[in-house]
Amino acid sequence: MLQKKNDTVSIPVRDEGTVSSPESGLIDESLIEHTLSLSFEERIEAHEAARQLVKDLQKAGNEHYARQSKGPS
Amino acid sequence: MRDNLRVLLKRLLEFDIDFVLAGGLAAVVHGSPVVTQDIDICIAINEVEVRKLRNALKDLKPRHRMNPNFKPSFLEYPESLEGVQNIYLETDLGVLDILSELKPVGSFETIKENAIAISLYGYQCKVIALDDLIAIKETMNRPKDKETLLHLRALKKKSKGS
Repeated sequence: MLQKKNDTVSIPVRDEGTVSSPESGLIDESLIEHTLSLSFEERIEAHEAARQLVKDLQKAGNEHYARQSKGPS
Repeated sequence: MRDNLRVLLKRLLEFDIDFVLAGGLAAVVHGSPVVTQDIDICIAINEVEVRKLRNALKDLKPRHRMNPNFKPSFLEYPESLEGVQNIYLETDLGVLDILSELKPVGSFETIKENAIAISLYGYQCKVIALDDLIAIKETMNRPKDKETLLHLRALKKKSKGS
């Protein structure tokens, strides 16, 4: 976690491995914090944008694998 | 505008960040039906790339997110990149994880060498290789990683069969 020491700031890191509870490290709690900072409408919009990105990546991935299966022309 | 991972990924491509897409979105490229809430990229964390990243993100309030009570700006911290391996950010367009090494595969250079390239939004986007993604997920213990691993192994088996 982020610490301030003598006016310097250390970079926060994901605390995997130092288990403080059974759930620690199994989920990214900062993602939950981030989601809670959004309004309901913003969450819906974010979900829709992520869905669109997934579609775009699926299409690009399919095109890549289709080209690969055809081999060099 | 709030969270829009599509615009955030486009931004990284537009600003010519030398990155390899990893994590859940890379799994999607390889055919996994997983859902993800963030963008994971692997880059070389050096002065040049961090400067480009700061430029790309400067109007998106990029801040370190791992401590809910203290989120310093990525535009100011870290001042020195010495010893910095990973940077976990939230921005006005969503969550972005920046990783310089992916165990057990290795550093950015190795990940990049093995990566595939896809055409996305008019750019070439490098994506971590399926075998590398499987190797990484095998070392992770989170339930969502275990689920993704099952999908990736099935995809690998299918690609061998075709």
